[in-house]
Amino acid sequence: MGIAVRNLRLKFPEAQARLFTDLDLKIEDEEKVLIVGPSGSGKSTLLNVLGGLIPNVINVPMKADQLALPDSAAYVFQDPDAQFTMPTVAEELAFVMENRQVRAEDMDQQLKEALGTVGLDVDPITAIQTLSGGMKQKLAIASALLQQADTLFLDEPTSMLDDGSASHLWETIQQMWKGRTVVIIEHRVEDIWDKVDRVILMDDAGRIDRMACPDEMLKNHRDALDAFGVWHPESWCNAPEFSEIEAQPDVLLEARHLMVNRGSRQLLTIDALDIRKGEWITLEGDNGTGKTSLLLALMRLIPSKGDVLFKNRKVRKPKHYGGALYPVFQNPELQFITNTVFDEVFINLELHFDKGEAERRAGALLDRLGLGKVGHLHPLEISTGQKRRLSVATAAGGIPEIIILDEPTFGLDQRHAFRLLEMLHDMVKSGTTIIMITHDEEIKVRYPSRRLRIEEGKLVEEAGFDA
Amino acid sequence: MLEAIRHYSTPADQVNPLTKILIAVGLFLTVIFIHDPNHLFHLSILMLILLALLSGVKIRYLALFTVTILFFGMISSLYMIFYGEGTTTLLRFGIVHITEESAVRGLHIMMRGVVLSFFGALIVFTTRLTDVFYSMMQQGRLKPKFAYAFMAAIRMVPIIAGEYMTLRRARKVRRPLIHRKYISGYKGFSTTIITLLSQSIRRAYRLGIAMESKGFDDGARTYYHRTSFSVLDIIFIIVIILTVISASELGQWYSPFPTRDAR
Repeated sequence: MGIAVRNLRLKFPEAQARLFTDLDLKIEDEEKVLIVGPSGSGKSTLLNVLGGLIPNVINVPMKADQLALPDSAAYVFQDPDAQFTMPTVAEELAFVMENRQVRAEDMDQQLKEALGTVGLDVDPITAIQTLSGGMKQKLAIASALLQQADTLFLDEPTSMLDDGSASHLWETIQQMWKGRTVVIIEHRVEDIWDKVDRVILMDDAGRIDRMACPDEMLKNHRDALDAFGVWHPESWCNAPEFSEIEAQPDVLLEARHLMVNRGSRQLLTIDALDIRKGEWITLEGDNGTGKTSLLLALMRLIPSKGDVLFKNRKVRKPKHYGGALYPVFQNPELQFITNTVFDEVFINLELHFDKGEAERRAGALLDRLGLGKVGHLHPLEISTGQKRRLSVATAAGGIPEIIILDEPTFGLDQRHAFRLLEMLHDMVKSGTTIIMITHDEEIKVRYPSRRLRIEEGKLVEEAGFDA
Repeated sequence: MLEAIRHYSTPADQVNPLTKILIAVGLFLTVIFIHDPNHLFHLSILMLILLALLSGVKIRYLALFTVTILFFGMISSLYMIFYGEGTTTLLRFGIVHITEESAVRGLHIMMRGVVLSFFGALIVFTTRLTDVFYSMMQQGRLKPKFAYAFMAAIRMVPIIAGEYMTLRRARKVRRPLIHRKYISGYKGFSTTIITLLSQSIRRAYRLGIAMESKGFDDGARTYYHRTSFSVLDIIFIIVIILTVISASELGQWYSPFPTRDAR
């Protein structure tokens, strides 16, 4: 039976124009479909219509001449923290079964089977809060299994995972998708592109621009994908290439005998680390090895033993840097402090330039990152990708000498990711030092002047990168 | 709930959470009407023994907890002890005037608090939070939508705490770069609250959608944890009543306080 939608019209009450006008879509039974498109193209909304969440749960006015939807659908959403109700793994899975009125005696058996199928090897009484992002998403899939849904809707399930966990999650999904219809929205497509039957490209006005099988899409429609800034397996062929930049001899930041702990456990020790002006450093390592903790320790935001020196002066508190070292955290929402996007960048500059110059620079930065049009909005109002770009924009502007970035390209589309890399390159060229955590293999091999890796509690230099 | 600091489970775990809460209410009313400090003295000791036996909490955590409760109890009674009225002066030092009556009254109030804290701790140590809501749905006819909303909300608390930490870190680092008016005083406070609220509201909205997408409604459902009343509930009630009565008897037999009425 599959899914069929004909002449779908939908308009958000507060929006100026309709999101969908006469949209047609047919998805065959057991077909695996990947929907890609720029942000704001209505992918998630379409998914919510296909699964019946709109208008049953989310009240949005819509109309369609034909609407054949699956009998039972299950969703996996992007934010692991916003899809679980209960404190423990067992109780969360039981929640789904309670809804279906499964007998209590059968629940333990069924939830063990589901955990086995998705390969989540934890004690059912484990608190969900202690699971990693990848494990949480597996739990979400286990709960979808227990809903006995014949159709799965995956709304960017890997957007908050690192590369390793993401490919692992896709393997898990492929193992259980036989016999089911699966509709996927995803930005990071390298693991899933050639596994689906069809790729649908949406444009930025809520229309289906084109659809084709993955091979054909890549062969004949690459230009269209690139034009909409959508990631595809060959995206990196368009990546910007930069001339190598020589780091300058002056050492900016030094760490001596630094010991970083998490709770009572020792995470890592660093005997000596020198960071020079104009270096572009990537910090790598598996999840949980303490990359973020190391950066926090260098910033003196968490307690650690040993010395950190900035320009030969000891740093004991964040304020000793005097703003010369600036972090961009993973969660952009949590570092905004003003009421407009423009002010967010402007206040960093206003103490260093006269008002006119500060305004000019702030405006130029925002334009460069494609944020010029949203300058008047509240920073929490803009889209996730825009928030991430804004958080990077606050770091730029020529004042900080070292910028620390935690996964800056996460969740950005191709176009904006490349533009961001260009901007980072320009900053390095003008003498700024960049230290960034990244899981992206392509970035690691292309851009940094030096690669650091955390291995077994030690910091090692990646071979061939002794710049 | 606090499995990490317990080293064995006890029959008190099996007692229905509703029973425990009702006993707590009953105990509160009883303690308020006990005016004999000797009675309360023995009741506090017996409650401590009950807590030690029935909570299953590791001894060092128990000791730490007891000391903390006694310490705070002491502090809260000081006001009464130092400035209360009375005729038999024990000590006078400036405006501090300790009389025998005020000392007894202060200690009496402290013991009331201690008894209730010990029993409260016993409930907290032996009850899983989810069981409270499961029990309220099954025995208390609470609508599932409220129960699950509460459970989901509790899950949010550590997430919000984590966000607050990150928010503070970001401010610490940005502080040297920007004018202090943006992060101090009312403005700093309001942007913090707005950020935390907007994050939480957004998450709650998404979670609500996720819950409904998992087939949750307010209708009939089965329950993973089945809670019911059992003979253990009756035994538990009897044990508490016996404790109160024997404390009163012990108070007749051994009276550390010279008076039978602290008022």
